[in-house]
Amino acid sequence: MTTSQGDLDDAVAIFTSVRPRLFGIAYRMLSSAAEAEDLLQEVWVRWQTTDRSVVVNPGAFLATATTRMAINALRSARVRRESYVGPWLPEPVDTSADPYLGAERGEALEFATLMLMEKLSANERAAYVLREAFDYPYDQIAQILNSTEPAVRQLVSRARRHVTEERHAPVAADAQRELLDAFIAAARTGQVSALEQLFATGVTSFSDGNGRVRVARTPIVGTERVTKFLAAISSWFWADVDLRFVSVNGQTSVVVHHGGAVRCVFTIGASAGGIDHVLWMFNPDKIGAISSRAA
Amino acid sequence: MPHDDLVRRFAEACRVGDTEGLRAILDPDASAVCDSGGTLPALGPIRGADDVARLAMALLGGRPGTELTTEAVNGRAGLALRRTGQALAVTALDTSSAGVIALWIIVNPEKLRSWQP
Repeated sequence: MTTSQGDLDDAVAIFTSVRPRLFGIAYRMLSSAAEAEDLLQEVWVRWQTTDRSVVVNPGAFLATATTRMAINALRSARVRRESYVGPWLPEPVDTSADPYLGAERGEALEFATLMLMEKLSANERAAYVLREAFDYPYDQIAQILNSTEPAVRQLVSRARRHVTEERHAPVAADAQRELLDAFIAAARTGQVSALEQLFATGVTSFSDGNGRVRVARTPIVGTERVTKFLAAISSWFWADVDLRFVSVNGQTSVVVHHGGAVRCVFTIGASAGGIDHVLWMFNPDKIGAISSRAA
Repeated sequence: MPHDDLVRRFAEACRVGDTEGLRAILDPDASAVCDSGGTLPALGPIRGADDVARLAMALLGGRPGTELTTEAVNGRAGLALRRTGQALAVTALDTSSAGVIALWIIVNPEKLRSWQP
């Protein structure tokens, strides 16, 4: 391998251009900016001493090297942390000072998620980070982890389940009731800003309409869409209704009466981030059992 | 209440030394963990609004010459405590619609390097 000044300049330019992403991967793997910086030093050395003329895709090469080295670094960091004095926490990063870390790629960065990711295996964590924070396709993650696509899908779904389930532990019954009241108040006015405040990201509205007109048949996903849907129905849905509350499995549901008949039953589910789903039952066969309890 | 508003109210209660006000915006089941890397007597995780409010006040509350500001910590509103510019503590918070549910307080100087001027 011949190394000219031009070669080295190219190597520096390529490394610099992907550095923010490599740091993003390393920090999310190690929860430490200092350890991520050290790791990037090693990646740089590896890059410098590699025969770069045979590297087809430098970005992929560097992301692969960073991820693999981060998996090893995480394993040894975990051993070291066993002798840490007192509770161990991630090293916080000032995301206003690092626009790439903060704004462009904010996923899997907040403290709650970093804490939950500590419980994942190193491989699970790598797959989760590459998928959730950087949107890598599964086949590419499989190459990076020296694994197969089905195995990577498994890793990601296991990790996702772990991270979201703990994060989305349902709120207590009284908090659910409180949110339900706030939801009704906001939905009646159809005021977008009031509704938005109540929703968790990815909020979903499910309807069981049994073919009834004016009921969305497919789930509505996302704050903007769910808000728009509620604003659209607010002009007619709440007019002249009589609401009765009923407790099912410790969560409160609302039976909506209109003109002496039951129009529907609805409820909300919530977790730490706010309301994450709204359920509407318009199907008369299914609401009979619930509405009879709301006398 | 949205995350950012809760964090601002949290900071204000700390600044004026209002432990009761602090307790009021904590979830009853709130928890706090402090990483001092051995520079403070080791504290296990603290649970419950009363104890968390007392700990937060002891660590972040209105000490003369210090300044508590709302800053972007790992992509969300968090808190930085400084004295003459030097960062003494950085705190990340997790909140729900019911209040603050988790506090992660980092006072280990090793982990505050990127926060120093």
